[in-house]
Amino acid sequence: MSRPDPIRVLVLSVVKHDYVARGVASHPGFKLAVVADDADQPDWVHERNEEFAREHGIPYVRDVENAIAEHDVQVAVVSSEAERHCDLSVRAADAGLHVIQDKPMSNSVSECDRVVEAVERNNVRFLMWNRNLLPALVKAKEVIDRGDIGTPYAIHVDFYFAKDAGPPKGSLGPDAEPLDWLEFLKAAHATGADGGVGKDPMGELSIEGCYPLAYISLLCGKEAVRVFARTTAHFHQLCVDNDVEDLATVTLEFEDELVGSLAIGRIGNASHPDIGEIKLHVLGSEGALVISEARPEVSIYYRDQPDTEFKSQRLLAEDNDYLLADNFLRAIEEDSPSILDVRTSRNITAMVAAAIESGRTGKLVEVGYR
Amino acid sequence: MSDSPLRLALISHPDKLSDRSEALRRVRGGVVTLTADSLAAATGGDGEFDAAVVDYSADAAGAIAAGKHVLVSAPLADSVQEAEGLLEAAREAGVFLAVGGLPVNIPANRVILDRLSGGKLGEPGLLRVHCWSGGSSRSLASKLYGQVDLALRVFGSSPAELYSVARGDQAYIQVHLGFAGGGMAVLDFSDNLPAGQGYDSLSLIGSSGAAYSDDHHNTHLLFAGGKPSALIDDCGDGFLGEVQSFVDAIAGEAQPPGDAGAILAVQRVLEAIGRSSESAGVLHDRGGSYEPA
Repeated sequence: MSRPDPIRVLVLSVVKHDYVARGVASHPGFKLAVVADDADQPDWVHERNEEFAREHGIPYVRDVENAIAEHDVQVAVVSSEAERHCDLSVRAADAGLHVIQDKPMSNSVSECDRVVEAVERNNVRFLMWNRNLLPALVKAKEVIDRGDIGTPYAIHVDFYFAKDAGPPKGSLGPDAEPLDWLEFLKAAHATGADGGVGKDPMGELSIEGCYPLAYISLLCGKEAVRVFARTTAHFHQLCVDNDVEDLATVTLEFEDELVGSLAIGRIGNASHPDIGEIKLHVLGSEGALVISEARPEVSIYYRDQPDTEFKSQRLLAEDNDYLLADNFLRAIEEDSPSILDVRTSRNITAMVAAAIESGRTGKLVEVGYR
Repeated sequence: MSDSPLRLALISHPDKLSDRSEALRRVRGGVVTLTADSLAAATGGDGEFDAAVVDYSADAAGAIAAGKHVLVSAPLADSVQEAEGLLEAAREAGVFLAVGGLPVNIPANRVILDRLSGGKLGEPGLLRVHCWSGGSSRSLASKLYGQVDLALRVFGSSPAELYSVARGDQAYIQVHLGFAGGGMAVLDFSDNLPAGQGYDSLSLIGSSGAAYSDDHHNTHLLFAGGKPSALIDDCGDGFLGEVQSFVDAIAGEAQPPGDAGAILAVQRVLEAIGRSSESAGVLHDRGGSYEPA
C-alpha cells in the first residue's frame, strides 16, 4: 500500500522556536511547503522567516492570505511573537487550516477565546506544542492510568529552568536604563532562550506555565478552578524592569478533591548542572509517584567540557516532537482532539492569568472557564 | 562549671530507645543514666538525672515540674496557649526548654543552611518541601512544626500571608507561605502513603544558587525478582547533634537551641494554617495575628 502524500504545512511566522516547525517536519506525514508572514512586520521578523525558508528550501511569502491561497496547504504552524499567535491562528483556521501553535497560546485569554471560536466554527484541529510525550510523562501516565497509585488527590510540579535572563537583579546600579524586553529577547534568540519574545513582557508563568499545567491536565484530566499564587522578580533585572515574575508558586484547587501546586522559575545557570530540576509528585489513594521529567538521561563529563554543554543528556527527548506530530496527524485523520487541544490550551492560559492576578492581589482567584 | 557529665533521662517510645541510647553514647559532657518509655516510669526508678530528652509535651511538662531541663521532640504543643504555658513554666523553674526533632538539624539541611547563611545561594526565594509518610495519622502540629520552623529560619521572619488546603481530615495538607520581600514556601504533607517508609524532598532556590535534597536521589535498587525495589538511604535525623547542643547550652558553652520567641512564632503560624485550611481563606499577618484580607 503506498503511503499517502504528506500534508503540506504553512510555517506561519518562525521568529521564535523553530523546533516546532522542525518537529512537524520530522514526521513523514508532513511536508513544509512555505513560510509566510504579514508584510508590515519589522525587518528582524522577515530576516528570521527568510533564513528558515532558505534553510528548508521553501519560499517565503510576505502575505499570509496569498500564501494560503497559492500553496495548497492544510496545516499552519504558528511560532510568532506570543501577542500575534492567536491572530495568526484565527486567520489560519478561518481559511480551513488545521493549526499547530507554539506556546504560550497567548498572553490574553480573550484572544484565546477567538481561537476556540474559530477552530470550532471551522471544524479544524488544533495542537498546542507541549512536552506531554516526553518518556517520563508517558511513563507517569501509564502508571496512573493503570491504577497503581489509585485515584490521584494531589499533584505537584516543579518546573525550574536553570537559564539566565541577562544581568542579575540589582547588578546594574540604580542609574541604569531599564532593560528593553523586546531587544533583550531578540538577542536571546542565539541561545534559544527567547520564548517570551514580543512587544509585551511576559513572566515565567506566561512563558513556560503551559508545560507543567499541561502535565497536570494530561495526568489528571482536570483543570484548576481556583488558584492562590505568589509571584516575584527574584533573579533577573530584566524581569524587575519589566514588572514580570521570574519565580512563582501556585496552589491549584480542582473541581473535586484534587489539589496541587506549581513551582516555576527561571532560576539562573548556576542553580542546576543541566536544564533545571523538573519533577512531578503525585499522591494517590493507593500510593504515590515521583517522576523526574529529564529521565532517561545519560551523564557525560570530560576535560575542557564547555560550560554551555549539559552534563546530562536527555534520551529520546526528540521523540516528543515526532510523537506530537504523529498525534496531530491522527487527530486530523480521525477527526479527534489532539493531546493538547484548543479548549484545554485556552483554559491553561486562563489558569496562568488567574495565577498572575492572585500574585498581584494576594487573593484567591477563580479561574474563568468556557 | 561542673566536670561531672550531665545526667540524661531518655524518655522515648520503646521502639526507639535502644537506637537513641546508643547514639547518645557519643554525647560529650552528658551521659544517659536512665531510659524509660514515660517520665512516670523514669521517676519511679532509682536513677537520677539532670535533664530529660522526651518525645511528648506531657513528659516535658512533668520534667519541668520536677525542675529538670528538657529537650522535647517537636511539636512543643498543639496550641499557642499550651506552648506559652510550658515556656512560662520552664522560665519560672529556671530550666532550659528546647525543641528538637527539627528538620533544621538533619545533616542535609544543615549543609544547605550553612551554604545559605554563607551567602552561597544568595537571597532565598523559594522553599519547596514534600513530606509524606504512611501508616500513622499525626496531628497538624506534629506534621508541620518542623518544616514551618525551617521555613521561618530560611526566610528570617514569619510569613506575611498564608494559605492552606487540607483533605481527608488533614491527613493531607498543603501550605503556601508568602514572606515580605517576595520569598515563598510551598509545603505538602501526607499521612496517606501505604504503610512503610516515607518520602522527603526539599528544594531551596536562592537568587544565586539552589539546593536539592531529595530521597529520590538517595535511592538504591534491589533486584530480587520481578520489578526492582527502591531502597532509600537513611540520611540521619540529627538527634545526636540536637542533644549535644542541648547539653552544651546547659553547660553554658553554647546558645540555647531556639528561644521562646521562635517557638511561639512557629506555633502561631501553625494555628493560622489550621484556620486557613478550615475556612479556605488567605490570611495576612496583622501585627502578630493572622487575619483574613
